[in-house]
Amino acid sequence: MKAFQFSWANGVTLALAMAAGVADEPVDLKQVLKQIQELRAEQQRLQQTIAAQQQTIETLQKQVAAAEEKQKLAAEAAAVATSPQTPQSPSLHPPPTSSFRIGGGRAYMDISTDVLVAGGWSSEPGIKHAHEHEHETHRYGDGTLPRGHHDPQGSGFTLQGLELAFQGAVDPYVRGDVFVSMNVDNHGETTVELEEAYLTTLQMPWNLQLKGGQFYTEFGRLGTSMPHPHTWDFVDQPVIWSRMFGPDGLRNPGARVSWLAPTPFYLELFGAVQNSKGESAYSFMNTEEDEFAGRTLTDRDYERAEDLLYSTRLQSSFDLTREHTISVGASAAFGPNPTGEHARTSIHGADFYWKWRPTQHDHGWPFVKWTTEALWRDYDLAPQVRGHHHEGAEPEIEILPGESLRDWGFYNEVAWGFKRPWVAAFRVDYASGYDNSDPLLNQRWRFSPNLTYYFSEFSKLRLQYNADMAKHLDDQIAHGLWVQFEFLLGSHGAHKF
Amino acid sequence: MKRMLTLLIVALVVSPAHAASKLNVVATLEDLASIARFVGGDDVAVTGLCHGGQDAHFLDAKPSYLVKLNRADVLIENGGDLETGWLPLLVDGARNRRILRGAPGRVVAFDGIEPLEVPSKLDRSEGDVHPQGNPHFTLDPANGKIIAATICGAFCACAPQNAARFRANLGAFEKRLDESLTRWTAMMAPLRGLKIVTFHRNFSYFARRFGLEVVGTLEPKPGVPPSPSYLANLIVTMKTEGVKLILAEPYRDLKVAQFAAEKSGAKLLVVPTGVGGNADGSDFFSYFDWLLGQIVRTVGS
Repeated sequence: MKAFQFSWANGVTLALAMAAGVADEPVDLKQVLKQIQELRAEQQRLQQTIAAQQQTIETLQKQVAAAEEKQKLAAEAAAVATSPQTPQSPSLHPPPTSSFRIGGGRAYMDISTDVLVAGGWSSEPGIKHAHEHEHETHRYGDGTLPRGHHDPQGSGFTLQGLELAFQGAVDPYVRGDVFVSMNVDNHGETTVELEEAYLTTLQMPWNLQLKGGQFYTEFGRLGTSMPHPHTWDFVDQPVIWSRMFGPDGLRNPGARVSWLAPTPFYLELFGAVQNSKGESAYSFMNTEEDEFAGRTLTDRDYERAEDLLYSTRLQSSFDLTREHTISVGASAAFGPNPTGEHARTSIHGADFYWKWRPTQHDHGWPFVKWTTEALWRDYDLAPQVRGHHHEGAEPEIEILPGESLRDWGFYNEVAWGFKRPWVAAFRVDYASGYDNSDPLLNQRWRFSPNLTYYFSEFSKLRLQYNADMAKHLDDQIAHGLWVQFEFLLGSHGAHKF
Repeated sequence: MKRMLTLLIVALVVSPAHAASKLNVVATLEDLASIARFVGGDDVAVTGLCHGGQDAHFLDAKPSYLVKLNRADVLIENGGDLETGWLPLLVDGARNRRILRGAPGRVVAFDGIEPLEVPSKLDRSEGDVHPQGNPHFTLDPANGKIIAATICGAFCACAPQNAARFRANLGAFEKRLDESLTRWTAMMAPLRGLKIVTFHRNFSYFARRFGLEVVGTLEPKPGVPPSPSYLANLIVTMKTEGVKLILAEPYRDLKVAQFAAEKSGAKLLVVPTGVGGNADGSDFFSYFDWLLGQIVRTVGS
């Protein structure tokens, strides 16, 4: 069509040229022919350009179509692809608190650092700076809710823990595990604690295993399988755990032996002896504070065998099917307390854990975990005679009779990994009241729903709400909303089941 | 009473070590368990922990496994960090010197295998890369011979009185494997050069054995789920390259695999990656018979 148009145009040009020649001078045929040739060459050039442009248009059209197809595919794929964008970091997801160990094997030990940061808001004041409380009886005089050292310490940000872990085989006979933890509270105070440093034997006879050093007591599910804060399914530790084992859990230097029973199912018996002093033996010989339950606390030396802390645990587990496993345990800890010379404390615990995970799970998802744990405490409050001196008056003598402080509590939590990489969890906390005016001993309920997104097994983001109903609160209820982030660098040892 | 109790405890403690005349073998994967059964014959009792329909990277370190390891004379692991998320914890807790690293009863099947895809650097932004290379070598049936020889060596060291029988069993296994390999190679010959896409890098050794070309994986990086744009690009590539087959494991996010198959025109075949993942693949030979049959049928139809 275009070619025809050009021929027609040529014809017109030729006719015009001829007409011009007729009018003026004789037609110079040679010139006309030359002009025709030039015009033909021009025409060819134009045709080539047009063909090239057509090709470009077609290529562009193809590209547009391909891009559109990709876009369409991507839009459709968004419905099936789980990841909003291809992350730069890996997200090989084992389920939270499931076992994993990545890397390693190329060095003599696995070295890792795990950082846990929380930020948020609480309707109650947070923990006061420890130094502001030198003259007060209770370290936690104002901030009465966050009891755990690794809990968010109040509105604002808390570096809940920077855990350095060094783990590996020492030689063919023992392995070593060291955990150092650092915190920065919301007042900027940094604390460093040696969480654990212990040896474990690998080839003792008679199914025995020894552990020695500084370690968390194998008490309850939390103490045995997940003592480190980054393995928890919640931002904070259970209320009853704080109440009986204080801000940092039950841990001290000592030794423990465990025996794996030769039964067809899993049955393990633990027995440990550890130092009974300090804040990490909270309900025992702990004189970090001056008073507990109205009694003056006095430190004593280790003089007799019973001045140490003794604990035992029996733990068992059964596979109901390939997909359902339950674990049960019973624990007990005994030791002296600082209210009087013969005052003693005993704590008993019972725990139950059930986990469902289909055999064909995708990086651990889906799963359901149900944990419930109850603890009972018998704390002898030794009789005390206390004198109160008032200026210009006779000294007042107060006689406190011997009493037995009995309290108990539980936590009950369910974590549901409903869709990779999401986990929804809910926890109910309860602690019975011994003295409702004392924030350390009052009745307290707490309800904590949360939602966690695992970018990978090395990082996660968690949102948690706490409804806290403690008897000492003015409003009887406090609210807390927390965001928590964790990241882990390096090779970290596998976590227990 | 006290004496009875003592006797009972002694009996309980001592009996497991002496009760069994057979070698008590625990293998992490059913594939390894199957080979161990061929090599060990009647002289071994073998338990496999992870069947082919499960993801061996992510087994739970269940206490019941710890009990099995406590009683084991021989532990056969895949190696290459495949079981690193759960096995070391179990071995440490098992208090069984017979299966500690370096003991004759500890078998690492990866030993002696020529590894593929060994990373030049370790960087987790590259996904879950195994430092020692791709650990899914049991999917090359020819590797079965190397694995069987390694297992035979361990059995002979642990029960030297049965060594002659183990070696005879090994010979029979090798012969049967040679015959099978000839048959399998013939079956797969028409598919040589076939372009495939897999979900994870599970089939690298398999593809090399049978001359298949893995054009891409549905995961952009090992363990990393695909984004919509990654998937769209892959589908376009699959179309231009003429990919006919997608292989995926049953525990993957199959919606993604189905989508890719539907849009690219390739056929999706969901297969367990090892022995015991279904009734058809109950041992080493029947698994590969079944797997190759499935692939040939799917591509041919």
